[in-house]
Parts: sequence; structure tokens; C-alpha cells
Amino acid sequence: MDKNIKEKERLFQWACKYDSIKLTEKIFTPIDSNKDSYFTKREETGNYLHKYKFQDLPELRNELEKMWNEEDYMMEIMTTVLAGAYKNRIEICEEIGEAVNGTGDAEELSPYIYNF
Amino acid sequence: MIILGISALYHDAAASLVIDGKITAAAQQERFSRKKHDMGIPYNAIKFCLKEGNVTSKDIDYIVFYDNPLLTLDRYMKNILAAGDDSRDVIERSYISMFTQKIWIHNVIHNLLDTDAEILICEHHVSHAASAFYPSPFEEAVVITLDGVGEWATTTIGVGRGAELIIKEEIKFPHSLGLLYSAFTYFCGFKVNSGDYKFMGLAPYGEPIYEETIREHLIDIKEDGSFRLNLEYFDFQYGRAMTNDKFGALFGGGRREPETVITKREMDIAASAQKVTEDIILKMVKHAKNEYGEDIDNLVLAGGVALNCVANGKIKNSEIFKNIWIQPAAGDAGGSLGAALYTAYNYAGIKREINGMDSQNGSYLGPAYSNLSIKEYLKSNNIMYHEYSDDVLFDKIADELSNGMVIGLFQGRMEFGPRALGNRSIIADPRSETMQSKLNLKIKYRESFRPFAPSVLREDVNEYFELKDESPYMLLVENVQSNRRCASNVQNDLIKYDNNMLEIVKQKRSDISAVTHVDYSARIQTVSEERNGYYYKVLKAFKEKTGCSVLVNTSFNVRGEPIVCTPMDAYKCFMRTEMDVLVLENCVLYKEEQPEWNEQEDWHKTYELD
Repeated sequence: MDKNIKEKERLFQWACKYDSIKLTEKIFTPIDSNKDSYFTKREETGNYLHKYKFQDLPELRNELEKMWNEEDYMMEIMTTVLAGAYKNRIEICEEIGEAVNGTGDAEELSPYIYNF
Repeated sequence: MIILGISALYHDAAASLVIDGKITAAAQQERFSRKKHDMGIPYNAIKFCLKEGNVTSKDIDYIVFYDNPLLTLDRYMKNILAAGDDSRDVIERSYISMFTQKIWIHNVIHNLLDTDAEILICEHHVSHAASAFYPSPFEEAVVITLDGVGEWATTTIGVGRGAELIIKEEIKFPHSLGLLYSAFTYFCGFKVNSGDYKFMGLAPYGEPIYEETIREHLIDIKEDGSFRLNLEYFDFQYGRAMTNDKFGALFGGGRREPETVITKREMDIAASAQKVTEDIILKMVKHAKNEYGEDIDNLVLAGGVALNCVANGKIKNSEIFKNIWIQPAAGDAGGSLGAALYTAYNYAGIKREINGMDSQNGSYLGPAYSNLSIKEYLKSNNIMYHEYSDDVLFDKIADELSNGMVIGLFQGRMEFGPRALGNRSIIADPRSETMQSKLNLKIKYRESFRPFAPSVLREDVNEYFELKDESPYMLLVENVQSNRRCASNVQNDLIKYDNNMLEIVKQKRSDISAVTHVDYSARIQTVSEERNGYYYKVLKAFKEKTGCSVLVNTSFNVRGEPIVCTPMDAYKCFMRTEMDVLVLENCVLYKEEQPEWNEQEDWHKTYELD
């Protein structure tokens, strides 16, 4: 039994709830003949490195809130995301040095599909 | 200051070690695991890097991962949202990897290494940009990165000055030149990671008759080179195949099934896609120069699309920038190096030093094996060999080459990046009209249309090719000099031989036939003594014997196998093929002196056709 089945279904239902051309086009931006350029400027903070060290869900939630706090539809799915992260968490083990190869239980993608 | 960079979980996992700002070691995991494009956690590559640097995991100050998992999660989630009621495949496709190793990458690393190092994450395209800028010989440069996708960005333009690197603008997923090219690669029946450069090699056979179709239906390109895809024709954003039926209808039918006959349609699609890709890149380069490069002569490139060496040649010839430098490991493997270097110069406070040469060390950053260790291996396996001193060795090699022998050359440190640059190479005489066929059928066991690439003495490059500058990393395509060419016309040949590329590839096109593509182009490596003394001497000796400064240089592996890493890998490849001679540093092995090769398993089944 897929232990993630509930979360996957919640994600699907969430996507269905918000299924609209408007939102799709906000994310999958369409061709626009009125634009002169599709480049978007970046804020020149030069801040591209971050410490990565959360260990518990409140810390992870904190990180995700920084990204999503102005997007209601993202905040709505936060609990499901945290549940997914918790159920599949990799905890720090006491035994060091075990080889970690491949993608574990991750699905094997066809070599004819780009992995992203 | 010891910094370990890691790339993994998407393509081409790798590890890189930077000590006090200097590149000490870098290697792709696939070379150790023997699994091509291995994307798993690069445990063996990390172990090698630490050993090469003579450090332990406890000595590491920072470990940096080349991608921001939370930004990637953001893209994954919003992709699901945008797919709406068609999101099941998107959800399923990456759910496990996203919520296990990607989000928890820091714990994965902690479980792997006994370390107190701080774990950092670096944005994906910054990792690429850093891999292009910091090892380059330039104090300042405009930086362009292009790939499939990182977290969100697929294309960035930035500026590097000293140690500073700033990303100025970007294009975001799903609009991606890398994904577009991969879509065409997929449609023409090739694997998307390993097949892109095959697809590029197919283009010279075709005519760009679909160029307008692509521009009209698939992509909108602005004057500055920015673009958006018409997503009605693609399926990758829904977690399925790269293209859909609508895409196929533009090209008269469905995709080509892998390993079936390649028709004129695929050749023409390749030519068309290549032309559009080049147009986009050149427009982008011009825009970058106008916007950010008014007083900057230098351009650096990275990201998987920067491995399109035909486009790179066009950039160079455009002279929009005076100088260009491309990261040899331009794909995700190089991200490990870029992330480590970015950390060194922008977090750890290391001063960036520039001395007029790049700091990539010829991209010879992997493991080397001494003559002693090689002899130990050979003796313990009762393998017959001859040892020659340097003053005899190179003449011997040149002798064999001039007699038409195919030689596996294994010396020095293994290359970092997809190209073999003389340290893990199969070399042969390029003048032979039958050498291309021989290498294809008897050594590489691969399709017939693909060209081989030349290595040439740096000082003689312009005698053979329309290139004056160096090209040490085999990332530029230029034409063979016109006075060396023989008359030929590929379109006429396609008609004459009924699209049979095996017949066409046999036609003599120049006096260095084996490395001349059907359009007279070649993907060139210039070899200088300062970058690779041993390989330089091989070429020099061959020139002295034959008057020819060029050798065929193809990677030391069979099709589907990663480039060989160890002497044992090299011996296996030697024995599995019809290679004539194997050179391991100063030890030379002749095929006729070797025992019969027996393997319990059929090795053809070990390596998936790539």
C-alpha cells in the first residue's frame, strides 16, 4: 500500500479545486505578442547561498512560509506538504558512512523523458 | 578552507573539492558506479575527492549542494497546480524523490559523511554560472546559462567581476531551450540525456525545412533571444512524454521509435531545430552584450545547452564577444564545481586569483593511476604487457597508429565532463577512409552517422581547421580547411544512397576523413604541451612519423558505458572490442598477446544502448 496515497490524492484535489485558465496562465505563462521581451529581471541581492538545516516540521514550515505566505492557495496545501515531508523524512542516523546510492524508493524514469 | 560541492538527484551526479579556492578534484559518479548518467548520491566520487585532496570528511568546512530543494519544491507544487485536473502524472512522477532525498538532502549528506561541516544550498543556475565564470581566465565576463530547468530558471544572464557574480535576468520554466531541444531529441527517437549530442550530429544531414513550422507553432522568439514555448504542443509539463500528438502532426506523424531506421524527416527536424536553437542563442548573446557587456570583452557559458558545440562555434564566429570560455562539464556535474567555487569566493572569503590561464587544469580532475599500480594490476591478473620508457613509448604509439591500429589510451588524471581529452581516449589515424566505419562497427558498436572528433596540435590547428584560437575542451565546432576538402554533397548522397547514412559516412570528404562530418565540420580539441604533456607528445610523435598533426579522439568506452575510470575498466573495454593496442601509462598491451576473453555474462546486456 502506498503510504503517500492520501497526500497524493489531496494534492490532486487541491489542483482540481484551483483548476482555472487564469491560474494556469499565471504559472505556465502563455505567448504574448505584445511583449518585447520574456526576460524577467532578478533582484540583484547576490544572495544565492543559504544554510540548509531544518530538522523538524516547525522549522520546515517556517522556511516554506517565507516562500508562500503571500499565496493563499500555497498556504492551503502546507499541511499536506508537511505530512509528505514527515512521512518520507530521512533522519540523521547514528551510523555514519553507509553508501547511499540511486534514488532509494524513487520511481525510475524512462530515459526518453527529461528528469526535472 | 575545504569545500565539497555535490550535484545529484537530477542528472550526472558529481562531487568537486575546492581547497583554499583552488580546484583540487572533481569527478562524475557514473565513472565509479559504471551506470551512465548516474544521478544518485555520488558517494564514490566524494570518497575519491577527499582522498585526492588528502583530507577526511571531518576536515571539510562547507558542503554545498548545487540546487535549492525548497525552490524546486515550489516549482513542483505549482506545476501540479497549473496542470489542474490533469496533474496525476505530475504528482506521481516526482513525489517520492521530492519528499525523500531532495528535501532531506542535508540529512542524506550527514548520514553519508562523518562531518561537522555546515551544509549550504546554492541556486542551480548560480552553480552553473559560477562553474562558467570562476575557472575562466577572465577578471570579468558576461555569463549566460541555459539548461532544461533548475529550480525555476531555465536561462539566466549575469555578470561576473572579480569574485562577484550577479544574475541580472532570467527565463523561467516551463519555457526552456533545453527542454525544447530534448523534446526534439525524444521525438526523433533518442534518449533525452545521452541523445542530445547525437541529435546535434544528425543535423548536418538535413535541411531546415521545418524551421518556419517551429517558429510559427512551437515557440515565440523575441529580438533579444528570449522565448516562450507554445505549451499546446508539449506534454512534459504534465509529467508525461516530452511531446504530444499535436506536435507530431506538425511533422507528418508520430515520433520515431528508438533503434529504428532514421529517415530524412528526422534529419530535417534535427537541422531545423539546430537552426532555431542557434538563432535564439545568438540573439541572446547579442542582447547580453548590448545590455551588460558594453565594456566587457568576455563571455562565459554553462548549463547543458552549452554542450551544443555547433552553436558555440557560431557564437565564436559572430565575434559579438572577443573571447569565450565554456565550462567543460557544462551540465549538472559541473554544478558541483560551481557551487563549491561560489561558496569559496562569496561565503568563505577566499580571494579569487587570476593569472591569464583558466584554472580548470585541462579538466583533468579525476583519479590517476601510477605505473606501479598499473603493473600490479596487470601482474596479478597474468596480463601480458610491455613497459617502455618515455623516449621509446611515444614513437611506439605513433608507429602503431600509422599502421592503422586503434589504440586505447589511458594516462594521467581522468577528465571531468562528457568529453575525453586524451587521458581516457581511443585514438586512431584520421587519414584512413575506412577508420570511421571501423571505429563505429568494431569498437564503439554504435550508429553509423555519428562523426568522430579530432585532436590537433595547438600550433597546427589553423592548417587543418578554420580556427586560429585554442579549443582545449572540444567544445567548438569549426570547418575543415577548404584546401583539405574533397567535393561532396550530402543531399545528393542521400538521394544516391537512399538515405543510407552508413554509405554516406564512408565517402571521403577530406584528407582527414575520419573526423570530417558530412558538412565538413569537426568538433576540435587543440592539444598543447602545457595542458597535457603526455598526449602532446603522442601527437608530436605521430606528426613526425606521418606529417599529420591530427588524431581521431573518441571516448574510451563502448556504447552505453561511461568513460573508463580504472585500469581494469580499460582492460575490459579493450578485450570486449576489436581495439588493437592498449596503452596504460608506460605499459603497452597488444591484442594478439592476450588470452581469450571470457565473461560469464553477456556484457552487451550490461549497458543499455544510449
